Amino acid sequence: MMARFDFDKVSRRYDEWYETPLGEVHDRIQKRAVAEALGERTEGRRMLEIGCGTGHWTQFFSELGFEVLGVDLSFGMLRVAQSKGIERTRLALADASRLPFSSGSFDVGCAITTLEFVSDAQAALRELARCVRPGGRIVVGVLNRASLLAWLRRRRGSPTFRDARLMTVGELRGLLAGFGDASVFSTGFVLPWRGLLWLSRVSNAVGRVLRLPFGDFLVGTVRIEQLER
Amino acid sequence: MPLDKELLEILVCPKCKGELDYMEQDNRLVCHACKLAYRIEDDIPVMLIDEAEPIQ
Repeated sequence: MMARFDFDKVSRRYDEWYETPLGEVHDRIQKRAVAEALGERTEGRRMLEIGCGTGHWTQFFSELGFEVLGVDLSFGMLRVAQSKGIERTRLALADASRLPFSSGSFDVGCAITTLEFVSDAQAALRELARCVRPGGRIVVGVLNRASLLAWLRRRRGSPTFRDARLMTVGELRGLLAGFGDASVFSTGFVLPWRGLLWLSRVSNAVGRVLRLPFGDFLVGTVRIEQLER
Repeated sequence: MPLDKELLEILVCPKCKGELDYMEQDNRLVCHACKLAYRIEDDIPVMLIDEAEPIQ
């Protein structure tokens, strides 16, 4: 399976978005939501992160206490991740649809902004589920297709938002449902204009409370029940 | 640097999911069943079937 982009080329610029005012707001909101989905037991737990890229999320997971194995298809991205010297972290280059790990080796499987870019999200999830032990869980973060930001970016012709396969709440829930009891929520209710970013705490709280389906970021969780599927 | 022990314990062949033999002197991981060798570059194992080297 090939990634749909040449991530080697963008590896050096990749982290820059998180440094923009809009990126910082999203980063904070997304991390809080993903931490919530991961639950409180993190210390010493083994996590497999597919599509770890430059290690932006890997670093966060490591800080939460996870022992992370980061996998990516781009050597350029992995080199950037490696240069960060993230604690308790190992890296491997592998294809998400053919993972080189024995079944049930991990407590948690994670894919943050990854499923949009693989050629077969179902196959990637199936492999991720295989690598997670029974009783473990999968946590995914996906860009919401039905969000204002996605619509604006598509209109502006952003390659990420034009070619990536973004999903809606219903689509992500459908994708996860085959693996067990899935829960999906949307977050990142941010007005993507610099002058209105200060409103994000309020707008996000309102969006979350009302369970609106059009936040910029979707978080899905599923508990793995069987080993073989 | 030799490959991390804990990583080595869980690594399998991406093709057959069978055991791999770590050849420390060649710095690669060999699947005898598939007759494929996976290289390790800068301590990062490259576990792609397409990039594995066929062996005798």
